[in-house]
Amino acid sequence: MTLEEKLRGKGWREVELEGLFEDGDLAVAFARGRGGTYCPAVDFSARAYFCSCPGHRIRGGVCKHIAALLVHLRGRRREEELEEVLLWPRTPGA
Amino acid sequence: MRELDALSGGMERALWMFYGPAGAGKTTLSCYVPIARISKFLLDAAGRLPENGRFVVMDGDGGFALERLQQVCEASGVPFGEVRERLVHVEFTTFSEQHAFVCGKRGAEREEGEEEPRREVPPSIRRTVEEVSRRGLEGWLEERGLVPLSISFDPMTAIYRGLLLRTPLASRAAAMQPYSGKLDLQLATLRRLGVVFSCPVFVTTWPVSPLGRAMTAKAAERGRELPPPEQPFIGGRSFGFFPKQVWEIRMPQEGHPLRVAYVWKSRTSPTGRTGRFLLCDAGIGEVE
Repeated sequence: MTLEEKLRGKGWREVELEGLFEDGDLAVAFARGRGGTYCPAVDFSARAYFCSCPGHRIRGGVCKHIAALLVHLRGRRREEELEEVLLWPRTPGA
Repeated sequence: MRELDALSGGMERALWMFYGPAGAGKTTLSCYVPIARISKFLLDAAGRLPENGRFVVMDGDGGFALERLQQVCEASGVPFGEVRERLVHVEFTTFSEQHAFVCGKRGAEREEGEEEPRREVPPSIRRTVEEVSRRGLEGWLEERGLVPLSISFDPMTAIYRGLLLRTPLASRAAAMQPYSGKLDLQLATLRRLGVVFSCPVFVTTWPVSPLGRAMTAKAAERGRELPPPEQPFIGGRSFGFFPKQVWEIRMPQEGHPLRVAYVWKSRTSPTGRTGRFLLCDAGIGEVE
């Protein structure tokens, strides 16, 4: 199963990414969706992710903005590394 | 500086966060000392500071004092005039103003309540804030060919905290959501600036107060609020996520200049390590 298939239903296609930057193992982008602009981020060395969107704050886990970032990182990082993010423990919001 | 340098491995070009109570030395560590130290390094290495270099200081609570910067610079043998010419010092009166300065229009589409300006600021500062806010800090620096030598925001959560304290507990989680989201965007943008311009960025905040923790927990018991924050500082999870170095600045004894830096997060030092320093006229000094 490909990364895109694993992310089916996450709604990442609705998200437009801009200002992507990487700093070592941290990847951050600014994501524009219907609800506003948010900042999904994945720290591969700390095995943690973050997003400023209300969905992630309330439920934790991979939201559509983090999903869009993962899809965008294909080609920069190995597919298995990106898929592994989906297995990390859900990070709490707040 | 020996003990602090041992904790951090030197002044890393990264996003740093210090938190501690009022009087702990957050402004000294985040503004005065980095500016004096970077200036000293550049003056020793190149004989002068770059013409297009700027020290950006965002003053969250009016606590930044030029006289103190001058004192710290002169104690380091740095000509203050050189630093003064390159200083971009701003204060914000509203949260929207703060957001526009750091992020430009990014994220400005989200609604928030009306805000009363907190206080008057000098016209020269107001002009700078308005000018930078049209494009955000990154765009403004690029447009003018300027390069930040350091960026400091002390305390970054001053206006946010004021809004938080004025919002009733029962509606706090919902009411603060747009502000929290924007604060996250600002912090991500500051990390980006550190990467784009390869300069150190310092932000500060306060610890969560024991009273605040207790009130939040009480409200949670009644099912009226989110669970207590997992972080020991104001600003939310992004303040633990985005910075590379997070230090708590502790005051072991009220009224004494001894301070202890406690590593909350670091890539170079194990969590829980500490380093001691003294607050003094020169900024910070060694503990004998």
